Amino acid sequence: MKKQGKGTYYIIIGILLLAFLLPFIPLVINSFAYNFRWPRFIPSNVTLRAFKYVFYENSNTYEAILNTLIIAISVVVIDVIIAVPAAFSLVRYEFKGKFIIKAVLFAPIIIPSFTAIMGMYVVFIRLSLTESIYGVILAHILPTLPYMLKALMVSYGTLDIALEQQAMVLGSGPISRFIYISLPHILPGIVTGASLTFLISISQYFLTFLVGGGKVITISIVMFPFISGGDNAIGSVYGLLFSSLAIINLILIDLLLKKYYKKRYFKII
Amino acid sequence: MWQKSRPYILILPSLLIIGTLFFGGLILGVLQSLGFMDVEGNSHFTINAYKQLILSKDFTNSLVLTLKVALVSSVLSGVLAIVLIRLLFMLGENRKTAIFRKIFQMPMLVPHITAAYLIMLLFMKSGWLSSITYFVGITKSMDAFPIVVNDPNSLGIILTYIWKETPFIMLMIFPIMSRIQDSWLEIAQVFGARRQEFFVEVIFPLIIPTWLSSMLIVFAFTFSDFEVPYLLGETYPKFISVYSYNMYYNGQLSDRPMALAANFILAIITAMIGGLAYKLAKKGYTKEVRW
Amino acid sequence: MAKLELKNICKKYESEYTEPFLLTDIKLTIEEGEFLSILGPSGCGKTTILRIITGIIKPDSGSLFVENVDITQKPIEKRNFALVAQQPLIFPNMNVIDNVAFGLKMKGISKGERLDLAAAMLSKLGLKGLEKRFSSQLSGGEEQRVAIARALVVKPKVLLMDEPFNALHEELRINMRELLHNIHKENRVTTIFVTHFKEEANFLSDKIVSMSKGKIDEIKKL
Repeated sequence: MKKQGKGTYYIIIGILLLAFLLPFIPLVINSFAYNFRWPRFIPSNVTLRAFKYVFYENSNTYEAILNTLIIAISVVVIDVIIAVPAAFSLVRYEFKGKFIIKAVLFAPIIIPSFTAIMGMYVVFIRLSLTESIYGVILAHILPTLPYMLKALMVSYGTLDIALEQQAMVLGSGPISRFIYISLPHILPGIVTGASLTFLISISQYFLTFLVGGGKVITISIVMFPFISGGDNAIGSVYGLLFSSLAIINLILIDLLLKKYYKKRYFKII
Repeated sequence: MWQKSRPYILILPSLLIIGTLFFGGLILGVLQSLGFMDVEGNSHFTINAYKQLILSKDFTNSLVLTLKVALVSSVLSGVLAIVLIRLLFMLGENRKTAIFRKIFQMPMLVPHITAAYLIMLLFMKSGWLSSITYFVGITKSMDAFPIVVNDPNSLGIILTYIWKETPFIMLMIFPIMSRIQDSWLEIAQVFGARRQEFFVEVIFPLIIPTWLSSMLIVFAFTFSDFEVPYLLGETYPKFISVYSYNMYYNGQLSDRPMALAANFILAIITAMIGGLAYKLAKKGYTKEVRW
Repeated sequence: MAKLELKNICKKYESEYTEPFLLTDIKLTIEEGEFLSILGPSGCGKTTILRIITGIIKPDSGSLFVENVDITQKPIEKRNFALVAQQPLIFPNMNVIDNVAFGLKMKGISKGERLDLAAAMLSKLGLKGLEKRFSSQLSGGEEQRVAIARALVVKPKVLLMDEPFNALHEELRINMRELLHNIHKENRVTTIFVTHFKEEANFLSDKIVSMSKGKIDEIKKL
């Protein structure tokens, strides 16, 4: 590859990289600005006013963070518990109706969950699930479960059935087989699925708003008034908060997976 | 007997939840749109809601707008994804391009409402880019900056989707490309193929099914998305999702069947797109098995 | 004038599968039309030499000459060689005839002409009728013959073969050996053939280069 040819590619990709990073700039700048208005493009004074508001003055912030985390983690736990056996079944067994069942389980990836939730709304009211964190958790299962299933199915797919059979021959029952053979193997799938589930759950606005009615406060809910024509600085700080959560999630996953693969490195088959 | 029903029992919890919550909700929605279980608790079958919907100018305008925006967003995202993938391929696999790849994935860290917000901060008349163009002298006033957000062409919305969905499409394609081992590139090069020719002759045909299928998924998503048009859209015409939401929560109780009818139409359309995407993805899988 | 010359090629070679070794001071000459075998046990560096000749690997020092021209820095795609590897590497997204015509396409030869040339070559190798098939529909022997057809049809300056018959069973190996021998008698394509089977080298070659542990032990003319 001629050096000169590569040069133009680097220039083009440089421009595109800049374009992709561009939206992050006002996010960061606005967070530290006061009275930052057109035509200024660099804030005249740097201030932590917005941060103070978000983290000290607005009591809702901590409730929002707490709720967001509680909901996300609950959804992850529930998803793992019900998806692990389901993924196992889908990978290992052939059975009648499998295609339809798969279609049903993966439908929420393509059909928006709010259509189902809006149809369910009356039932939710009757079951006192509206304006309740339990209702929101339930609702968040819909868009997240298919992704957890997918991640686990990929993991199970690489688990050689011969290993399980070997364990059976050695006298291991289904539960201990699961604990000692399957579980260690599908750990990366669980971690990947959990990470996706977490990301999707914290990113929800509409679903949380529909079910929670504004009473269940998550970060996206508390952020909304500020970004729909409110204080840009405060909205930006909430935006940063969001991104930080997502980045922490990603870094955690990366570390966990690295540790996992390091430990099992000797297991070259 | 236990053995036979085993697969079903393992699936049951997941199936139950999705079955009752998701499909139950859809079915209830359809039933309500057909006149059952209305506000006063009465039920009588009627397709009135659908009739009103089809006759409603608001609805048809919404549908057309949403379809247009979804089409443009998905196609542009798909094209940009391929351009970026080819660029990254031409630059080869090294630490630099690995970092580039990570940077292009960054929009995935940001939820859609925040992404919409960021595009707004950038492109509104009083926004950051406007300040820069004023400073540099390209625009002489706030008004001189073109309308990008809250505009009749939904430019802001489209930009948000492109920013968010291009990384998604790239993510879908990467695993396919990583399966093509170096030995294939090497032998092609021995026979005279330069990198760009290898991309056209070997890589591109291989990723087309996955590329198309993920564009369809993006289409289905942008077609049904609520949050971005809610934030950045104009008051008229509304996007389908916003139209339905508005009708259900801000309208008369008697409007609810119409809102649910709109939801049903939305669900049907996305379901059909999903079926198509699935068929294409399957074709892509059988093609790549031999690498 | 020698067709191909390796002068003082050195390469420090590290792989995950074998211990690192040194390719030291490799001097090799092959004449136009000659069939040269590089014979040696696994891990002796013979495949590395081949990869250096194609340009896939760059040597640490030394140079490579083709018809007295230094091509050490020339990129892979410009060298005008051909390669038949251990795996047939038939592109799965193209049918047989498009595979065979691939090198011609890269040279810019028009569609009609290159398909004709490809068809003729396939016929010569006994593969007539398989033009529209895909790699998944071919047997191992057929695939490898397609790979050979693809290599021969471009009329390469040097034909490089890296243990191409290893993956085939005994009877097929012998058949392929004879096929290759006959083709070479007819075409006189300059060929470098890597193998660890002595009988194979003896049967096919005009010259055998024996190697072990990164060094050339002996060069024997037959």
